[in-house]
Amino acid sequence: MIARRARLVLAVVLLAAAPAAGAGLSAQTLFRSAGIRDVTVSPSGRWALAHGVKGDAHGLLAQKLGSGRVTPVLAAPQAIHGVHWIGPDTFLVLFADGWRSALIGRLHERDGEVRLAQRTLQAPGGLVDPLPLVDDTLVWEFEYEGRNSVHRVRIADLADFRDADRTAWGRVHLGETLATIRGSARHWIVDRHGAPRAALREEDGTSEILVREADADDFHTAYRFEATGDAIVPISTTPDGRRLWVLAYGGHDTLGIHTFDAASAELGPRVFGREDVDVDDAVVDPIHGELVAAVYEDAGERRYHYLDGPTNADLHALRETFPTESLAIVSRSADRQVYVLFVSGPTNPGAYYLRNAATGETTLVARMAETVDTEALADAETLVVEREDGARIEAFLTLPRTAGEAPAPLVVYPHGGPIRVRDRRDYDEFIQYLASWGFAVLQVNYRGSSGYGRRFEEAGHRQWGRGIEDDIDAAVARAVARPDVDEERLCVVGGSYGGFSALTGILRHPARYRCAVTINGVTDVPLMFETSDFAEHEHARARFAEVVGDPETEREHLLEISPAYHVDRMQTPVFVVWGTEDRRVDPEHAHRLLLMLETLGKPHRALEVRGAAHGFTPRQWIPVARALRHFLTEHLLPGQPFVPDPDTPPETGFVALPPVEW
Amino acid sequence: MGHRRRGLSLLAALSALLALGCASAIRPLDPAVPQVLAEDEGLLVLHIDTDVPLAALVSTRGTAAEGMPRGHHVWLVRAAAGSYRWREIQVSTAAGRFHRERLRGEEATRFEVVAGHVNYPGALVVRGAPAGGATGPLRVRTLDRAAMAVRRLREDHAALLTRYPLRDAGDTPDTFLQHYTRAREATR
Repeated sequence: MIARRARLVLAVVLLAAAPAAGAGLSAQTLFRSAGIRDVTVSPSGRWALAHGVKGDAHGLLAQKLGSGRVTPVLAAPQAIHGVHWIGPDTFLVLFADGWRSALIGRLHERDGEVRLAQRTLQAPGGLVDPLPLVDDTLVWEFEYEGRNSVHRVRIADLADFRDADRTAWGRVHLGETLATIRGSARHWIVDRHGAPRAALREEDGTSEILVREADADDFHTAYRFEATGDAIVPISTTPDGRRLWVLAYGGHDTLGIHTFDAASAELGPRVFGREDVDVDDAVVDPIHGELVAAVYEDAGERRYHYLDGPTNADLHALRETFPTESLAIVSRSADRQVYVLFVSGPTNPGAYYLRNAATGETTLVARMAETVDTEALADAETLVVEREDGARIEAFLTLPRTAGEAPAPLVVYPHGGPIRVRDRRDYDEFIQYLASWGFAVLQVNYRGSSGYGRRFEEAGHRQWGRGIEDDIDAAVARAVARPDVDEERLCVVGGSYGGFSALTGILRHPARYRCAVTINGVTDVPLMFETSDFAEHEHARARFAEVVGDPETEREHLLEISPAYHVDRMQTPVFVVWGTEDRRVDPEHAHRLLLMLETLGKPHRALEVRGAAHGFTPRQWIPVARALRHFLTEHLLPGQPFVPDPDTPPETGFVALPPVEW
Repeated sequence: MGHRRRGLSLLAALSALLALGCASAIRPLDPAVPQVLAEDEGLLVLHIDTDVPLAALVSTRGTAAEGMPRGHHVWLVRAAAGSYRWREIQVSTAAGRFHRERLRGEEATRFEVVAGHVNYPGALVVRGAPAGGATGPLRVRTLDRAAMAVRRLREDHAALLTRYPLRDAGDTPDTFLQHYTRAREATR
């Protein structure tokens, strides 16, 4: 049962942001909406803590469960990167300022008021394990001069860290040193006694799983791999501490969860997996350190399969209330009686609910994008296209709410990558922005996209401008065959490989598209091997050559598929967008395309985004989205005047959590 | 003491003369004068992208540029035909001093200036220490950003770019400049 009072409180805020009839949503509202970014419950089960964002301001709100009151407890001095419970009522805030700043906070009550005792710290390294059942202690890692060391540290000592705590040999002398390895490690696995048991080390394209027995001092290499197909990624130790849970193929086409015996370096049987989709992530309970769920995509929806029956049954029951949305448990008390449920979908940017497992009572407490009117959002449906070679292509079509009145113009929006990247049928600010202004949007998980198994991913190798584009064409054909999509009004928009795809699309089909947009798009494929950030690493260059072709021996072919060399054949207006600080697809790609467009007198527009890297921040997206909508309106809605975004209603602050009164 | 001081002064003067001699292979363009190249002269594109202020960029045939603030810089200079290599970067530090960074290996890009051409050796991308300080280890790469350079130079030097053909001056398999030049010729 969802508490009604909470929903009424939020509805007042949402109605205030509803657009006027005939107008779409504001890019400012979609990309920079105030809201709650994260809600967690303390290990003690006494507190709920929310991380709120409004513009550039971040803060924390707390409520003592059952008290009936919500209290702002922290106005953060800078952006918050993450919040972690490190004790029954104590949490650690990591800031995103690049200066290794953090804050320890302990919630308590005094005179009926919620109080926060806090202390700041500034230390290099990072959090490995919060050890929330051990108060005032956590596991922290340091990297100095080619060595990675892990320490069990008292928080007070970490707060007083100084460079004097380093020894002359580049090791850190702080707390109890639990492990030291050469190089850089990630995915540290710590058992429930606080001892590091495994880590993943990567160097020059080779990955190693390092393990240590419970009673041993040193780590040794249990497994080494280079190719993705042999990858084994550690998740956590098994409950008996003798083996590891890992993500691996294990002879299957898809990734699944297996056990791994470090002593014998043998992969155990599959514990959970699917034959049609990859398990691409796993959830580890941060309190108990146990593997609790496998995560995968099913028809574009993110699914969480909990390995314990009661939790799975509980989520299954909630499906009646949330039939089409993704459900995930993002935080639980130590006794697992209280948990935070995160619900999301194409028309739901994200909502947090507190659930009492004993009573089943579920209370909506916050939304991620408070000022976005979810009633105005457009839903997406999944299309499946079977190709002649047997490949099964999933695509997601978002239709504007006006599509029933007349066929909608279509924006084809291929994702970047192209390998090991994918689209999801989920909330996307740019897609909702376009849909709110009357455009349908088609996303395509063409061959090479992640999540559909190893064969499907490898089918995208060496298919730049070929098989990948054939898959996109097949999905477009499926979409335009519908009566609610206007096949005479199409544009193609994409970023990175998607930008390459957009340009390739107008070359392959000069009469199909009315316009094309490339955002940080690849225009000269051999240039990637000289200017991209990965080009400085030999193993990364070799990997890219495997996927796209070798410029040493196949330069002619790579130039043949490079749009910058075929501008003479372009007849379709092009909008070129690029970030000046893009290190993945150097701005030279955009400049080469523009120089040719200008020289050959082709219709085009240009937008340089100063300070932007390969991915745009929400703030950078706003003027880009507006400029693209202007361009799309000109070509897909001819005769209709461009209507500027509506004014964004003023925001008054974080929406406080509705109090939970169990 | 007096004799020794005179000796040092003579040595300093000789060094300055030698430096001038070294710098004479590369000369700035005089915007007030129509540019007509000598028979053994070409135009060299200097393209520098730096996040630290640079006191100087020095080649094996003299100083190419001095006093560059942080940012993106593209401009033309006159250069004697022949082989060059980037030899040294001088990074500005506080109080008007500079720190010398010798370029070695791949950083010391070789390029050839051909008379009667606009020669593009690539963009020199200079990145300072992680904290953005003006001293400390530098990362130097040469990237082919020919189109970026041409689009910038067209604003002030359209006539020169029309009069003198463009060419890649470095050892690169990149063929974009040739492709652009052919397309430009075809439109005339």
